[in-house]
Amino acid sequence: MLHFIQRARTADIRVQIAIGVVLVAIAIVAPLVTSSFVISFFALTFPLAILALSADMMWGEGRLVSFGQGLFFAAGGYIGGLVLIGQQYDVSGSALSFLSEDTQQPLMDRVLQQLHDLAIAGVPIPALILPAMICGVVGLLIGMIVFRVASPEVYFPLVTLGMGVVGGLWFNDLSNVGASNGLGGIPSFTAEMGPQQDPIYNYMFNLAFVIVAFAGWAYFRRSRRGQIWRGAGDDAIRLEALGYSVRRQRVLAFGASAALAAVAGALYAGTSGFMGPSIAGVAFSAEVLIWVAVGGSGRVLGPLVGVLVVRWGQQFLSSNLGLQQSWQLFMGLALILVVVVAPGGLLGIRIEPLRKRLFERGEIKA
Amino acid sequence: MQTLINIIAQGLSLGGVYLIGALGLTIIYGVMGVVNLAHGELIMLGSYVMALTVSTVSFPVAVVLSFVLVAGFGVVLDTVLIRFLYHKPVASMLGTWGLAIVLRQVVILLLGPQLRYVALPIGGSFALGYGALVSWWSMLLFVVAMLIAVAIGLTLVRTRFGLKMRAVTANSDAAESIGIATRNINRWTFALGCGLAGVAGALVAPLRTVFPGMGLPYLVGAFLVVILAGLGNVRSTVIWSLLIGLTFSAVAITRDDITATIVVWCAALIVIAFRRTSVAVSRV
Repeated sequence: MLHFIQRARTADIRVQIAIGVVLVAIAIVAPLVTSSFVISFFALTFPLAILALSADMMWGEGRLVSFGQGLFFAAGGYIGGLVLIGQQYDVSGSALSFLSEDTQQPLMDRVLQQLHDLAIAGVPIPALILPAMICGVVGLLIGMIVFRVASPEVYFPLVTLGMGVVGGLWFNDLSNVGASNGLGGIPSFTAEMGPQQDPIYNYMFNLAFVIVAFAGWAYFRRSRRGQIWRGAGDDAIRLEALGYSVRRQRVLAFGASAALAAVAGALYAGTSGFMGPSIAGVAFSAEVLIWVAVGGSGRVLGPLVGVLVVRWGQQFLSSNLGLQQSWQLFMGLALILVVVVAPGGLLGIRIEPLRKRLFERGEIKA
Repeated sequence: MQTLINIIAQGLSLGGVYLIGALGLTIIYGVMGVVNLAHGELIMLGSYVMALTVSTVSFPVAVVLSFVLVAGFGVVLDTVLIRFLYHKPVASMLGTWGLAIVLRQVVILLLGPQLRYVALPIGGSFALGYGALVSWWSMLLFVVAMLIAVAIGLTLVRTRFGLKMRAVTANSDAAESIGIATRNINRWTFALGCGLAGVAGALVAPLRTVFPGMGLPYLVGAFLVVILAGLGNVRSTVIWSLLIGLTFSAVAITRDDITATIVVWCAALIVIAFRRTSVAVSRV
């Protein structure tokens, strides 16, 4: 039965690989012909694409919408940022700390310094591994609680919504990471490799992660485990009857999704040099869902397309048309439009009669 | 003792607001399977109706007006957007979140982002001994909330409209086939839910500041009630909203609001984790 599903729902593997190779080739050659503004735009967008992918891991296959991805993204960014800096946020500035009588560094700072020095080829690897581990474990724990409920497709979004609100407030109050100011001055992952001003280093570093994440996801979808995970979203009761634990699938998927979001957050913090508490809030998490909805949930490239289209649109509207103020309004309208008119997103638009889609019952399907 | 009385008074009024919000959410979900994430913004609209009209009309009229206007707006929303989202929980969450963004932005564009304050229509407070003062308005809020809960419960059980609502909740297709106009039931249920949100907003406006982004905490609080009480159960909605209101105000008065939010959500997760059975999904 699983073999049948695979044939029915995924495109020809050769076509997929060909598309992937062409995209990677374009991404590697593109910096040679574009301006450094475009390069830094993409360098900053790549971590967001990984974040969108982490949301679609839950949504596209498992039919579970998470309003808490931004929380894991921010947590990952803060943890990664602290390791990259090598010490906690210090309001007084480093110069003043010599004046205080207590010259002993706090334990937290010493640990962070140790982690910072565990670099491989100049890249502080713990800044990527630690966020993934911490957020992954938190995701598993929350998942173990949340997925006890009877209809998680309704309750999971609501619980993650609450998580996002609580997390946003908490980071806004946490002085170790700069509270409402946010954590600034985070050095880049590629700081040791070359001049910071050149965005090409960040671009290539983040591109590598995007390629690994999306290729890995495409591979996973075709694997046996990937098909079981898709089965959990398509028909949980039938999968349960086949002998699989749907709850176990969901818990593991949420842990993996949280870990991936955290890695994306660490990359983002390293690229932008800043992580703030508003990223942890629900508004940002909902924006992530808008990217996925616009691109098309349940498709490998959906999150990537969605992020690029929405972020480019934002850039275009605010710089060319001076509509920075009403950007939010456009996002809201776009979300309504996508949900009602094109549930499959940009990649899912087909030339079926629109009316049939509007009045059909059932969930959004890819 | 004084602190205790303050906690109870604030807790009951906060629980009252959660109760009105959660009742609206729960009947909307029960009847048409729509999870309305724009509920906080409907509460915000109710507060604006109160803030803009209370200087010209008396406050009971303003409360009724906010019910009528927000319910009427609900009929428009239902026709334009909500009917495309019936019985699609995920799509309805995203669509109504988009609606929430649009409503916030439109209010900012039309009325400006500034904070507004509504004077207490019934000033003063009464003493309960031990030097504790309880404001009349917060007690009124609690009483009105309980009356609304009783009215909703009676409507569901004793009236023809309630019977039809329960029929649509139980099985919308079967209800349609025995001659119930489910389209109308859906529309009026949504309007009722919106109107309740409007009343919640109108009643809470004098206690808090009114601004376009005020809805989110109420949305989250009301959904917390719904998660714990189960969607569509009036009696446990009453109990849980009061419990959450009391817990929140107990922590908020002794510590601060942020700690209170965190404590309440962690407590909720623990309650869910230790329940033997999963969360109740009885639908009315």
